[in-house]
Amino acid sequence: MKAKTLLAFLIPRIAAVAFLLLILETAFRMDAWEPFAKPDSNAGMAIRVKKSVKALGPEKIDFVTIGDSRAVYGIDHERVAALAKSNGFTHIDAAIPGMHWMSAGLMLRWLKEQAPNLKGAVIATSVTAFNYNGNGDYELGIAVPLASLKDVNWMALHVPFERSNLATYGSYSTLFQYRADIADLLKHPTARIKNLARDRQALNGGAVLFQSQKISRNICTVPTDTIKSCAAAPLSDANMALINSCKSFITLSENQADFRQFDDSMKWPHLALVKKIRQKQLSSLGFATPPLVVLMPVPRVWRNELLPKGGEAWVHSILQPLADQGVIKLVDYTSFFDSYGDPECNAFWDLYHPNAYGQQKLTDSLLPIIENYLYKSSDPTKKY
Amino acid sequence: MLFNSWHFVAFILLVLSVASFLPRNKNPWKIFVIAASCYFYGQWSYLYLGLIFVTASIDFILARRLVGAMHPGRLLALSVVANLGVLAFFKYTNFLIQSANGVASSTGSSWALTPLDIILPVGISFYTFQNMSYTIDVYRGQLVARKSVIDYALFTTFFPQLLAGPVVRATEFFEQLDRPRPLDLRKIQHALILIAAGYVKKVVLADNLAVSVDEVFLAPANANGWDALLAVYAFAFQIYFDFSGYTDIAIGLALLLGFEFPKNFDYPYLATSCQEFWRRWHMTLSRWLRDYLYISLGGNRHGLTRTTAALMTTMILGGLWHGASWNFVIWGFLHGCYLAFERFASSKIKWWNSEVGPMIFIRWLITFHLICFAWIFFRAADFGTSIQILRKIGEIFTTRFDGEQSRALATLIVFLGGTHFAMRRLDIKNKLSRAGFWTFSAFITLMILLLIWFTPAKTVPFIYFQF
Repeated sequence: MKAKTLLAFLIPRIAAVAFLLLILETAFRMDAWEPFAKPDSNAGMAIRVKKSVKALGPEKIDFVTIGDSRAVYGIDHERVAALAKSNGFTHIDAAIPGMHWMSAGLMLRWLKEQAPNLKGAVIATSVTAFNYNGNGDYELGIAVPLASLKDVNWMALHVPFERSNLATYGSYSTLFQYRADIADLLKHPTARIKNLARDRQALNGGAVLFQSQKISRNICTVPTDTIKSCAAAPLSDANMALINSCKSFITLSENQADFRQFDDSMKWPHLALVKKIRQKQLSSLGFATPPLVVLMPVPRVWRNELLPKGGEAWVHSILQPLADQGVIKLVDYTSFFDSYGDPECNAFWDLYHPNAYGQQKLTDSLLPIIENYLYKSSDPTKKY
Repeated sequence: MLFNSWHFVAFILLVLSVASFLPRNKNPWKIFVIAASCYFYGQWSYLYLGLIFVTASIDFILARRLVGAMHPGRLLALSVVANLGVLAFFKYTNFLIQSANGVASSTGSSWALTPLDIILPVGISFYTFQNMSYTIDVYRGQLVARKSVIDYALFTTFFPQLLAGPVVRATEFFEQLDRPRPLDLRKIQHALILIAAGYVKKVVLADNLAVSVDEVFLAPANANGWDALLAVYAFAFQIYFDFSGYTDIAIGLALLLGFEFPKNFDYPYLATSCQEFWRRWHMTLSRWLRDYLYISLGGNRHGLTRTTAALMTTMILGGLWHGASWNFVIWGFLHGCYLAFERFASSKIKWWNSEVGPMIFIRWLITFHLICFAWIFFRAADFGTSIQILRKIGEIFTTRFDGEQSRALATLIVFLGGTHFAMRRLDIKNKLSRAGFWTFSAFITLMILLLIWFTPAKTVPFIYFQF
């Protein structure tokens, strides 16, 4: 067979396949999958925020809280919204479990595009969120519904391409971004249909943007002074998840990293990159009121054994210069529950998240700061 | 280098591109394909690539000497002993040592041998059988011994089938090598369909089923009865999609290089008897065992007792060919029993072969479950695990069928079974080979989408690579 004949056969077919894939990629880029996305998946939660913002009326939004699950469980968003309302503002909660700097950046950008009156933001993060630039490929799920073609570089900067990990291809193609969601639909089609119907009702004019998540249990039944003492505690149904999580951390605690030697040189390029990108990101948000960055509480055992040595100082070396320049306002609640009047274990429901009691205590402290810093300095009638 | 790796995709694109510029049937083409095959195998072990050449050299030389030899039988015996000796050393030495140690300890003796530190060469069971087919065919006068060492090296190392078959007979390979092998567009389309479907079978179907199967077979104590039963059904499909997927890719690749390999699977789970199953499952191995072992043992020419003995021996050795473990012996023994019983039943029980619809269905149902029963021993790590799985399955009468995962898996298995049936009824593979431009393009697009969406995070090696 002549090469010409072979090429005449292959090239049109390769082109046709590429064309069909391009059509699908375009459809996915135009949010064709959004109506079917699993409501409680990473993508589904971002879609829920999008839908709720549209249902509420984006022009009504003045302030937003974003962050990961520490923000979801650590702040009483209902009280924040009520306080904002009493000051003549609308403050929504757009925090999503698993949200990290990449998706947080996209969420803020999307909100700024949608909400013409957005004046400022509470960025609830923690000292654990500065060890790496990205936070794994799962974060692409949150980013997908908020991203456009121009965000490819931003996403790839945080979720670098790995040939053997198809999930990381999602930085470049939407066809890859909904992999888990599509697979889940095939596995549980009836549950998806039911969940989507339930979620449509739950949107209820954007009410989801003002709701608080409260979990009442605490971790006092397990000794959490050290990871090893926690891992060695007797198992019961109630504390199994906590003890298993401690067990999974033993290796990490035995190999605790040390950031104390970091000196802004290129000795640790990934840390230098984190510092550079976070400072640039926070400096270029462009809100009328610089954002309020809240470092959420982290249990003592985590700070002692899992956070790199010198980890808190490292985070301050990134944020404090920005605070000093007035680019952000920094509130550090990292060790808030060390001295709030009760044992620390009463304030958490696992090694990450404040429980309802912790949420109440933290919100008591945070509300006046939000009010004074964000609301009192803004004019509810002014258009931004 | 796994077929399901980017390394292999880059390798095959390069090989096909270069090979297409070289004149087929000429030495440069053959040497290039041999070199590519050596590189392919060498990615696993260059040391064991040497082993392939050693055994191939022995067979090549002995086959040449068979012609006009005074005692050709001795030369053939030498070839068989050399091939089986290498296979036995690498595959069965530690099995024998462990079995001997087990016997010794059960009698209270403290005597024990230390197992040897042996790594099983990938594909050894396949290329050993292929080499043996060559000398046996030459001995039987069905094939003229090759003069060209290049031809023989190509036959032995040809990468599409080097690791896990199909077990191509020397006569089939050389007959094609000696004639022009024009590649028309229909064959290219057919090859591309086979390769795309093969990848989907392996990566999308087999590897996803593996997750549920492994969960139960690695920790049967945590499963309930229904989980265990579903895992057995799931494994039946996992191993089918895994191996037939590999075979489709191998046949497709060989086709692109101009070789038409024999079919290795023909919808085996539609078989209504175990004999039919073996005509549809791993057909090239079944054929090899029939032609070189079963018939040599007398086949069905010497009455029911000899036939039964030949069947049992063939199936037990066939089981042992898969792996050095008593579980494979049991698997082979079970299939031997099935086949022997069927022979008995079809000759003694009148209604057994009835072609009435319900009877066909009952035969199919029994056959499918007998095969699944044997798969338990094939998949389980050891005899104890097999018994644990069987005990768990016994619990289905006292366990409620519950759990979304179990329902999803059950649905998937019914879907796959239905697809199996429909694919054959509608003859989809052949229709696709003749499909028009857009149908073909849409099919390839669909296969790519399935790979994008359903490739699991963990890469699972082909099951038959371990044999």
